[in-house]
Amino acid sequence: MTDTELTRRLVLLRHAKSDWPDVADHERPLAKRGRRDAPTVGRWLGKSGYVPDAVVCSTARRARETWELAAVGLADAVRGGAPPVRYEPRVYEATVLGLLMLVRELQDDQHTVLIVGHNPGIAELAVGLTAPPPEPPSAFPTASVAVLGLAGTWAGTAPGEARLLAFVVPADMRS
Amino acid sequence: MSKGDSERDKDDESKSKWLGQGEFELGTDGPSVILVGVDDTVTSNRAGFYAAGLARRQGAKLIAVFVAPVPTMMSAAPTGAAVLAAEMQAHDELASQMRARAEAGAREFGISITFITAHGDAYTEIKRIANETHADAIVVGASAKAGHRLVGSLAVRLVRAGKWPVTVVP
Repeated sequence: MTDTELTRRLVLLRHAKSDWPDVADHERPLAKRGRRDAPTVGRWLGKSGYVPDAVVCSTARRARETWELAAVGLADAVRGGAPPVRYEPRVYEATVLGLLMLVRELQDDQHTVLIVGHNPGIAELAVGLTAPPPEPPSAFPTASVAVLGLAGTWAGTAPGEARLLAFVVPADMRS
Repeated sequence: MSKGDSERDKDDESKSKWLGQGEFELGTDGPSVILVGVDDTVTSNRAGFYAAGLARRQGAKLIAVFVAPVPTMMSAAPTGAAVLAAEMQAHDELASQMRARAEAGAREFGISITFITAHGDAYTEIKRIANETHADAIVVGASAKAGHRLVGSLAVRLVRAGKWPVTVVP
């Protein structure tokens, strides 16, 4: 498999650092550091040429806030970079297999798709789809991004067949 | 506002709209889209046949939904491409078995069927797919295993949702 055959890109973003006020888990907001990291992610995606054609975002507040702030950063970096977003309840509390099923349902006219989700699902999906396997899932901090290159259709997405094109934590995105 | 509150608000809104506009097909021609939950239990098999009979007699569209269960220990299990591949293969095999069975049943009844497979909590997924497909009625098998779900049987949860007529087949 050569890189030119990698026609699809799956961008996996773990929500930015969240706060722990006394609210239901689904409604936890971003912490101060999360609010600072999220736009950085958007700018990095724009600068690196990973502008998503579509975004699938968890309905959890910390994920929605992550995307809303990342979208601002993306629009800063790339003019007109405002991809459509779908808030998907299945991303919240999704197992790795649940996430894979979502990926297999994606539309083929969307070549680069960003999923904003949660651990352990996001990290396990990055590891499970990639060959050779990258870092263990414990090393997938908040607001980190994994970019996977895939060949073929979304429906044919299978474990161990993607190439890890990039894995970046927020500190690296600023440099 | 918690997730529960916002869902309840939404449910209340749609319920009052239904009361006002009579969106249920009751008293007219009956349901035009019937959703049946299928898995590998005896009762759900009977539910499938019952729903197929309903669909044939009423000329309704039948949607069979198979929700693959999430293994309890899955999220704690070690992961990697091999594990994910095994999980995916197990899921796909089960789903294609269910699909084959549903399609064979549909041929027997001379009706067409739409088979949808999902993964996760049966109630959540059936509710989602019922909304997406605009189902008018839901048919499920009665729970064969008493107390096997912590939060009550699938049928009870669907009835409590109060969004569709629910038929429970013993």
